[in-house]
Amino acid sequence: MNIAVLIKQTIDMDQLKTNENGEPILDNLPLKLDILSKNAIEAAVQLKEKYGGEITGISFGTDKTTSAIKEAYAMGVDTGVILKGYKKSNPHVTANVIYEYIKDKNFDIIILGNQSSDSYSGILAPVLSEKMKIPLLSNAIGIEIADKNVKATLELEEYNVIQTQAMPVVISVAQEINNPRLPNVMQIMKAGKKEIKIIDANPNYSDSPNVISNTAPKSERKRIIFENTDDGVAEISRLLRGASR
Amino acid sequence: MVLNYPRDLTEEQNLLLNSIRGMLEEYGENYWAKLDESHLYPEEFVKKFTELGLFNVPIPVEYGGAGLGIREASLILEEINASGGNSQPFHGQYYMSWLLSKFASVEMKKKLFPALGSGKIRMQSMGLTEPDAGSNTPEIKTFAKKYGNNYIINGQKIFTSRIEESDWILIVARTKRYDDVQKKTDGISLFLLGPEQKKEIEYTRIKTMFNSQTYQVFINNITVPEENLIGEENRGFGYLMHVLNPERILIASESIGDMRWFIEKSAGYASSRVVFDRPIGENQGVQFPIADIYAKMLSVSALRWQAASLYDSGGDIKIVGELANSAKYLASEYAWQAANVAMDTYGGYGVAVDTGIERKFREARLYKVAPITNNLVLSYLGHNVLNMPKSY
Ligand SMILES: Cc1cc2nc3c(=O)[nH]c(=O)nc-3n(C[C@H](O)[C@H](O)[C@H](O)COP(=O)(O)OP(=O)(O)OC[C@H]3O[C@@H](n4cnc5c(N)ncnc54)[C@H](O)[C@@H]3O)c2cc1C
Repeated sequence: MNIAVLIKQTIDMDQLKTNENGEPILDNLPLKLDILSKNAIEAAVQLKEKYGGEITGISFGTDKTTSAIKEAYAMGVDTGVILKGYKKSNPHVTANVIYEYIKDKNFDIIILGNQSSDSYSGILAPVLSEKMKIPLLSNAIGIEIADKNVKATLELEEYNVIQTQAMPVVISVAQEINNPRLPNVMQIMKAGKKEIKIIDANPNYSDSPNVISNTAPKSERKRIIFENTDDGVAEISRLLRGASR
Repeated sequence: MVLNYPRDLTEEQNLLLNSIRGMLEEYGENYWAKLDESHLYPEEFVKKFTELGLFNVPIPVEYGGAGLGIREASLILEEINASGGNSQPFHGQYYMSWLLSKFASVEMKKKLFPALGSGKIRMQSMGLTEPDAGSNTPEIKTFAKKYGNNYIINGQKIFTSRIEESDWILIVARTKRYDDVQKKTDGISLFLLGPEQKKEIEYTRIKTMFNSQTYQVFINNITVPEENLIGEENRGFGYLMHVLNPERILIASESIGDMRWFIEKSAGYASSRVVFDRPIGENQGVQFPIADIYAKMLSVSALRWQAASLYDSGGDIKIVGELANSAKYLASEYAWQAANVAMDTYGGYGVAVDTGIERKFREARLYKVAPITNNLVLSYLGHNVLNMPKSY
């Protein structure tokens, strides 16, 4: 089986601070492997372990994305490719770049996270599936393979759907699908020595939307203070009862 | 979240940090607080630590290890302490591994390294300190006498940590009496004692003010085969520099981790605790001591890194010693200062067990006296580096 896993490198969201206007301060933030990309890698590695195959990790990134690819190597990805030229989040540009690279590679399964931890757009998977003209199994929390078919459990709002689809397919995974493994020291050492393919992607950002404002939502706390404990307890239990309905 | 600070790490070092951070998420402060109550060894943590291959860090590549250096080991231990944990229960295996890789025989390395890496055996204990010698290590009395192909060892040790928790231990003994050598550091030899010998050793646990496994040890007529001698007889003190210097760098790193924890806790509490209608951190009397510790943390971290880099690149062990001792001295003093700043910041809540401050406070105190007292570091710097008269 020929598996592609799409890997995004994002800023470390835990370290993100905002300025006085509520705008994110993006300078000098450490980079991190996106949370759902880790789930996607883990899902790909589990498929390889169960059914055999080869995994290609693909990232639309920059020169600095090597660290994300090395982490993917340490988790079990076989070949890593960086499509260089990423400037900002624009899922259509990303889809074009990735499509150009994978369109003639005959992947049976293309796995990616359902959305990324920085922009949360959730657009890449459907756009890519549309471009490739292959089906999308979206928000997967379980993947099995039988013959040439993929059987995926997809999580919807109210219930789960089990869907079978002939390969090739695009699968976007939800965080619930697995617990990504922590790379062991020896795997990290091996990963460090593996070659990474870097290709200039020359992305076209010309008709990207113009961002007018990007600020954190403000939430004002009510800060109600009860001088009398009994009143406070009564109000809290009233609110809790309301919330549990 | 754990307090981060700017530092220049390689991609592999960052990956290592990611893995250890991922593991630490499973072992929060409650885990360590419970162990502190029961004074138990962190078995489960060490098992997980082993599974992540972390004992492979110092083991040379040719023996199946990662062949990494003190820099990586110090990153790992620092991170554990910065998360509220305590690395003291297992750091011993790191410095023992450097000793083995530098001076043990090939047979011994083949026998021990793969088993140490996989966790089949543990080697986290070194008996150097003795009740009658104290800081004056060359004056130790434990003696190994050669009979045929064996040595018979007799003596007494104190504060030998983790002997119960180790399969293999290192015993420092004299093979020439103190009075019979010109240079007082001559005539000392290092012996590896395996499970066979350990059975014969008697030890009793010493109750301590925080969760540490440390013992009083009685060695009576223990037979040790000559293969278990490390390197050459009588030259052990020189070899010990490859235990003691790495140990000091690692301990400095643990203290740096402690500082990060105290800083993060204090800064967080100072920003959220409201008294006189404003956060206490608005008062410079509360804010500045925390900022002061942060600056000190950055400075000693750089010194520690310099010491580690020099050791890893095979630099002059004397200069390593100067840097490693200075790093251990400053880091332990600053960590203790940080512990007190946290205590003050938390007011009465600092002594309440549930905030965890008093536990780390107790733990941070150790490194001012062990593995070498800070007075002895200063006398080393004063005499050996600055050529002032010897004070001991
Ligand atoms: C929890 C714990 C774990 C330990 N683990 C180990 C272990 O695994 N293996 C091991 O071998 N040891 C271990 N030790 C022992 C530790 O290394 C010693 O306690 C330390 O080296 C000091 O020796 P001492 O306690 O005999 O103090 P002493 O030598 O009695 O010193 C007492 C005080 O006098 C001061 N002093 C002595 N001489 C001078 C001088 N000339 N100038 C100025 N001041 C002086 C010292 O600085 C100190 O403040 C451990 C200790 C503890 C508490």
